[in-house]
Amino acid sequence: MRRVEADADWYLFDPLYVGDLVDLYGEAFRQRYQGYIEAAERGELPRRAWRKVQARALYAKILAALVETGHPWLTFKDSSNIRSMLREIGVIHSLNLCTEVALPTNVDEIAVCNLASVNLIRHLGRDGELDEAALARTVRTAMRALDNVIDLNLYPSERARRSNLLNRPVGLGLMGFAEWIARLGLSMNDPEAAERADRVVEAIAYEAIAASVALARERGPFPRFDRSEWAKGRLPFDTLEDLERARGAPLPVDRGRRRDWEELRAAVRQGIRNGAVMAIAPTATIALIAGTSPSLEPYYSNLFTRTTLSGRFIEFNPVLVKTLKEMGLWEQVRERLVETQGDLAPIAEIPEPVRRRFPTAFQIRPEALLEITARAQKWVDMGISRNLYLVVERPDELAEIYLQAWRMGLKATYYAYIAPRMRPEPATLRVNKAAQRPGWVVAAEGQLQAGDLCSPDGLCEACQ
Amino acid sequence: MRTAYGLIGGDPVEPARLFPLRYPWAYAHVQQAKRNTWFPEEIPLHDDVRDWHERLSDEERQAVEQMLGFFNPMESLVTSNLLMALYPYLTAPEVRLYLARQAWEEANHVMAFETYIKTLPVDRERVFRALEDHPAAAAKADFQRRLADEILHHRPDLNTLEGRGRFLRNLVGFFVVLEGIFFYSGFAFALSFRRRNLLRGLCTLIDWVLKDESLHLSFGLHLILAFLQEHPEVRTPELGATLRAMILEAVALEEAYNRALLPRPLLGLSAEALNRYVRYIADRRLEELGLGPHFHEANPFRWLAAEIDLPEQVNFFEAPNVNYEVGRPRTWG
Repeated sequence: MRRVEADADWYLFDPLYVGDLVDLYGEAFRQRYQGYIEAAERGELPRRAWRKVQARALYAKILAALVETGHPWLTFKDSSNIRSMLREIGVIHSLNLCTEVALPTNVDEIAVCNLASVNLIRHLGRDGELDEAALARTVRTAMRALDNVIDLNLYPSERARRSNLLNRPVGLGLMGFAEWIARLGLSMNDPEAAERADRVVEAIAYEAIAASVALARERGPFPRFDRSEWAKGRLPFDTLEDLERARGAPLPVDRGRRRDWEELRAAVRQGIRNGAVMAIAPTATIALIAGTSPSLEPYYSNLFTRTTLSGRFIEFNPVLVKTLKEMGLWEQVRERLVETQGDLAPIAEIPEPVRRRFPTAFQIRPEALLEITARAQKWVDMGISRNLYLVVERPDELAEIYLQAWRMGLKATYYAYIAPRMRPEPATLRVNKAAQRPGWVVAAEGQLQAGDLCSPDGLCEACQ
Repeated sequence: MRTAYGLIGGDPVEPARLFPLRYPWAYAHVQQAKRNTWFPEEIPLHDDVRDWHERLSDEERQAVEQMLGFFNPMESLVTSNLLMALYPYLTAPEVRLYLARQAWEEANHVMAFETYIKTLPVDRERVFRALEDHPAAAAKADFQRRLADEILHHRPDLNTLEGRGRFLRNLVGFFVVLEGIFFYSGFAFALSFRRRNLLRGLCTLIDWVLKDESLHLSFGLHLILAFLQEHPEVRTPELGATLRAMILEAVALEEAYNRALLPRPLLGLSAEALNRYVRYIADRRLEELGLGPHFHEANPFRWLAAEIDLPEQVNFFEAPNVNYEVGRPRTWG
């Protein structure tokens, strides 16, 4: 990403010739990589071992693939490793499929991880605020259960078992964030939403680490505890400074804390049961089953369908429906919601503040989602699944967004959902394409250049 | 400089001079069609194979075979009609560009249905005999064939009112009746399987075909309205009555077809309900042609909102995602 920022060249090497690069990151990687570049340019590497491309040209190809397929997931090796509590134990070479599990792997060890997610909606007080005592109870139970699974699990290979027993990683996350935010009367576009993400993830992280410390007192710390950052009395948020130092650039993440971490720090130094504690998984299926919104994700729209292995299901923003019912507007606007595909903006009957409060995922500024993620990542020792929802005409419009994700210290980005321009003719709505032409045709015509349209000889009907 | 500037009447083999555009809507359709490009190989069919052999009843299998047996030859007929009946007359270059693109899409649909038939496998002899075995399907095919032959076997003179009227009948018959009524009825039938989580691959294929057909229909309607605008003399009460009668005839054919397709209701779908949907859609087409509704039918298939109308979020590990568009500019800054 530095090279993209600097509009420099990106050297691609065949790992057969530069095997040690695979195990490096940060400053050590930078130096070694520079060494290989010089060796390559001096002709000391076989020609088939390397290739030079413009960093921005390759980046543009990656962005084009994202726009056309939703993939690949950009994962950042420096933040993943520098912020790992197991960084002395091993190098993180890749994340898992959902980009939230960040654990070291090598030829003898295959990382695996058990995950669980707290349903925030089940931990709210009457005032809609988080019931921190209830949350603490759930987290303690979840951490004990996750730790039990490590011993009870069936492992696909000895290398997976070995890795899991030595590091004893677990990944506690959450679901229901979007529903909670909506219940509070907020939208994810509000800075307050990031503040809430920060606080709730801090609370979960604090309780999870405390629970793992308690488990260590009962069952002993994980075998490699002495070599971990935990043993030095370090906590996940301490590594923000490491990343900042390694990059030589400020990490634009708020550093505020609410809990008494110093007391916990002293306890952590005595031992923690699990080498990794938190990861925020996408929960795209279990949240559906639990009846809330997944992970830290926004509602895709206020009315939409979700296609899963088990079929296609209608989903809606339940807080919006409740709000509209209370206002006596629901029956009046429900058909319009189908027509607008869950977008409130064109529905004039709904008061403006309500429309603003319930954006679709594509109406949330990507920067706001990045801010929420960065604030959560502050507390999370592994990673966070972060989908992006983008309205984009040309791939290069995304260049800044992904650079920003990296600058803010995210470890990865997950799928890019791209708003399709065209919508097939609706089946259940009264449409008359002759009377009102489909929006995408009008938009596509609008994108034609003036020069494509105007006939210099004045034969064009529009000019006559 | 473009010399010919009507939809018809240009030199049919003159090299295309696209710009400046005279029909920006046609070019916009070409651009969108490009962005909708898909290939049948992208669709996983393993669940369909299992469903076909283990979960579908005999009646359901037969109904699907009959549907494939109608779709497949009709996609070919549309291609022939586009290239042989319409292309020689429609000389506006941006319109021709779309016809060529649409012909590719129809060919892609033929390949997609072939892939499907081969993969399951469906008894292909029976599929290709569908028009012989099912008189109601044959009647629909004959209806389309007649419209194509009206142009192919008796070349109309578009300088005459009669010729223009005949040409317009073909446009309405293919773009509005076949693509806008017959196919839409077939889509609703196919998508009813997804409600029961059956034949997911086929339904993904239909999602994509439906996007294409939606575009063909929209293009066709733009074309018909532009043609009427350029040739207002065609717009006679007689022609209106002819077009209306044609659509009503097509509805009758479709209703008979659906009764034969579903002699007994399949789970969640009866011929009676499907025919109400056909009449609902036919009203929409009549209104779009400015002819006014005939049936005043309400849509019986509210569930199609979930299948077609609402935005779809796909859990990527679990199903293919048809919501991406390709072919965008690759510039930097």
